Amino acid sequence: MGRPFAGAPWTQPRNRVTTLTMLMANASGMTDTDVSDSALLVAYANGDMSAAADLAARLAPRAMAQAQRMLGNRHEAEDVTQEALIRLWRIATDWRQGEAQVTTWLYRVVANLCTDRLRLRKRRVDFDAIAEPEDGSPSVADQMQTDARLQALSDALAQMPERQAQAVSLRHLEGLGNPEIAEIMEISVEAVESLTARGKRTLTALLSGRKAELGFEDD
Amino acid sequence: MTDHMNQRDETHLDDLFAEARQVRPVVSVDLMARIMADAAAVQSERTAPIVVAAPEQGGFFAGLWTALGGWGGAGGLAAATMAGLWIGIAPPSGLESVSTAVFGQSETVSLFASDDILGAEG
Repeated sequence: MGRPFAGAPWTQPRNRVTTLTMLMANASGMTDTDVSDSALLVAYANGDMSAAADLAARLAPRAMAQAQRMLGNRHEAEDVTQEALIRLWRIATDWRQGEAQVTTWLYRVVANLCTDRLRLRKRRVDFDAIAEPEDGSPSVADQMQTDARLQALSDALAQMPERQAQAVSLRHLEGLGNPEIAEIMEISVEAVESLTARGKRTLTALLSGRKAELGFEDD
Repeated sequence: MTDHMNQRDETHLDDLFAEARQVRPVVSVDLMARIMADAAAVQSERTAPIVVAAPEQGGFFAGLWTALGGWGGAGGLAAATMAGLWIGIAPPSGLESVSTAVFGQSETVSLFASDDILGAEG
């Protein structure tokens, strides 16, 4: 969704709310990209579909990345992304600007949707999920190995206690700091530290266990 | 030996995390279209006009009839009324002592001499 002339309200789709949003943004010297997620969400709640498009363009890639890292599967990640954004559209009218960040809310919803899926997952090998590589990229065999490793990680997350899986994912897959994770998971920073430490130990043990059964361990 | 193994495992795990962090999928055009369709659908639900039921025809007594429960309700009321009247006029033998126990012996008090209503004879 490109907006080349962000500073000109009259070049945007003719819609009273969009114009108002853009005028307000311009009045405070902000460009299109500085309009906050919250402002876009409130604008959507008031009927501004172009605000929804902008918000989707920002948030869908984030949700997709988080989900695919946790689930190791593109198709499932797409389902989670779509579901997370449906929930966002539904809470738009209840959203209070200034109380929380939309991205915090999104991390939380995606993490919960992912652990829901992990709980239900049956282990299977899914070769259809492996993407076709482009020329010059790693060979198909390499890609399969990467995909298999990421699938193994995801399967291990599925076997862990859910809160540990969430904490470890937010810390080590999303690279978030403990205070932010605490806000997302609605627990204390100390609880986050405990969960990530235990989670990492559990994950190490699970993945080591698999290597042992494949006969790759030599002590 | 075990420590060495754990250290190696943790390194493997860190490598795996690093590999997973590189995952940056592109959102397909198809997915984006579905997301926007959902946004439009949710918005339509929100702004759909609220359908108000048409007021009932028939006025006050029709409403009263419905409140009582129609024929069935009115029939029950009538039966209960007749039963009450029957018990009052011709109570079963055990009931008189009950009413005496509850209300006490009844006394009749005359407020004025019945043959001198107007008080003409002093």
